[in-house]
Amino acid sequence: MPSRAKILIVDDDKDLVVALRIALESKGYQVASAYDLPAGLEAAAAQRPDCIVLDIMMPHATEGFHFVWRMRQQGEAYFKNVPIIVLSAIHEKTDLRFYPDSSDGTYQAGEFLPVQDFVDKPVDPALLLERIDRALRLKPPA
Amino acid sequence: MTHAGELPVASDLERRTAWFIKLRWLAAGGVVCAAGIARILGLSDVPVGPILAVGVSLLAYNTVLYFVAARLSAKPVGRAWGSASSFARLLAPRTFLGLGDESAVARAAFFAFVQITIDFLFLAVLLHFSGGVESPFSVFFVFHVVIASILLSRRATYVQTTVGFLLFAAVVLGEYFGVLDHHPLHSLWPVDAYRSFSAAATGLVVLGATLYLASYLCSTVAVDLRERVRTNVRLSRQIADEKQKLEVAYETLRESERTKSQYMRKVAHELRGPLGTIETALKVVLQGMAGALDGPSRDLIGRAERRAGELAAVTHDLLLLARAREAALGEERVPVALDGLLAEVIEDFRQPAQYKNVALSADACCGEAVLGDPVAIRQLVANLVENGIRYTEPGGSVTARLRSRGGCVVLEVEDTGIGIAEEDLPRVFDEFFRGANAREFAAEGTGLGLAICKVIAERHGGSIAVESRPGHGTRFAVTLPGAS
Repeated sequence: MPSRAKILIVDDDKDLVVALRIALESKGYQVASAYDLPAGLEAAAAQRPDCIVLDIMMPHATEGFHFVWRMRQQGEAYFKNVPIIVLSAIHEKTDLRFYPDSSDGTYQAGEFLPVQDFVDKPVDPALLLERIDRALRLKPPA
Repeated sequence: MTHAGELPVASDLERRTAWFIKLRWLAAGGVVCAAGIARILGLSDVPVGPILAVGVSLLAYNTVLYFVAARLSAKPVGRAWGSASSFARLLAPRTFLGLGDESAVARAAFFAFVQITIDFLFLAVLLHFSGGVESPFSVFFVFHVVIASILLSRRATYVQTTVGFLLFAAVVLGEYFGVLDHHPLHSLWPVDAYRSFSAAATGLVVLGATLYLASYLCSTVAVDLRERVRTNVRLSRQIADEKQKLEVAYETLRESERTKSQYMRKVAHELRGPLGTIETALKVVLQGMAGALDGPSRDLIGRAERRAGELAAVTHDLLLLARAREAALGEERVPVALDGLLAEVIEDFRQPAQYKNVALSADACCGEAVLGDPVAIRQLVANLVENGIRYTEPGGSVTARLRSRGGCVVLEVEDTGIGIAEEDLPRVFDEFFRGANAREFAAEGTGLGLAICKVIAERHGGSIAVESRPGHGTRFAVTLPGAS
């Protein structure tokens, strides 16, 4: 088990964040959290988590999309490679394609969202832990 | 659609008047030809000059009428016809009044009345130059009476009949008393009766009786026919009104359906987030991540987690249903190859079917595509296959078949499951309906899956049908119009 790996949870649902934090901490992860896009970006830059668990539908519609693009746009290799697992109930489970059915128009059907994995809501904590574990194992060495 | 303001009555009268003008071309042409033939045959006693003059005048007069009629039908009816011209309204068939375009009816009737009067004058002149009481043309008076009864009110028809009869009498009596010259047609009609009192009297009585009788018979028939037209017009107006009311009611209903659906979607959407969090939180506890659980706590948390899951499934299906309902009809549609889609869905359910020991197979021998929303159609197919697996006992089978039939694609999903009771069949597509045996057999199930299927099928211009034998199995058949 990757000991003391740091996971950042970006989700506006504070209760869900608490539940996930308990689940992750029970397996020895360090957990940081942020409840919106700016706080999420700031936490990612400051704390350099090993993996990010991200909700798409935040207070301002599809902030999660913007989080992903803003992260990946940054020049540093860390931002391009850090595994992001999207928590979303609105995607179709075909490859990594994302079909937003309530997007803000930024994305077209069939476009790729550059993230490592999706876990459907409602989140099964055991499944999320499995996916985090996998993402950390597949992560290119820093 | 016929609108109350544009009932066809006035235009009907105008059309018949135009037909009357057409007939007059024939009559005028006939008179000119008759004069010509008399000249060619050398019938010396026929007054060719005057008869030709009558024919030519009739042609000229009809030309004027032709243009007047054309102008009248192009010109809107002046307001004077509606209010001031009560005389014209006496002339119009009573059955045509009160149906809307009253002033136009009055104007058309007045125009017809003037024409018939002038025609009688022409006919009287022709009669005079062709032998008066001896003239074979006297029967022509009947034609005008018939036309009057078609175009005018009954009262006006009798007035016209009297005008015709008086003109005929004036010619006959004028010649009898020597006030008018007599132009016998001995070469054609070898009688010489104009000075005979009995001949003149008989002629007058016979023609008078003929005219009035014709007038009575024709106007009776015409009144009856017009009454029917009136009834038809009233009915079509009523139908138009009812149709409009129905359209309004339908629109209101649709609007309220839409509101209901939107409301349902919003509620489901609001419920989904918190429910998901409850489920996840309970799972965290249940999976021992928040500390050890004793037996009773584990049992209770387990029950709560299961119920939260059921509720989440209902909100999920409610959202699907609302989305399927609200999806605009003009939505962009793409060709969806059902055979490929079916194969994918079967693949998705292979594991659950194996787990339950239900044989799952597909037989797709139709490559035809349908036009539609691929996500929705996939949902439809998946719901049917999932349903089949859910209500089939281990060892049974679920078979999906794809056929092309008459330009349509038919998808059948047949299982060897518990079946549906006959009394439940009409309700299986209702929201939240689950048959007693279905509830008993499978605890899970929202009762919304088939309602979603129906909405999706109908939204694509298709339909869904079910047949079942309790204890033997069920077959659902979805028919969708083919893309070609």
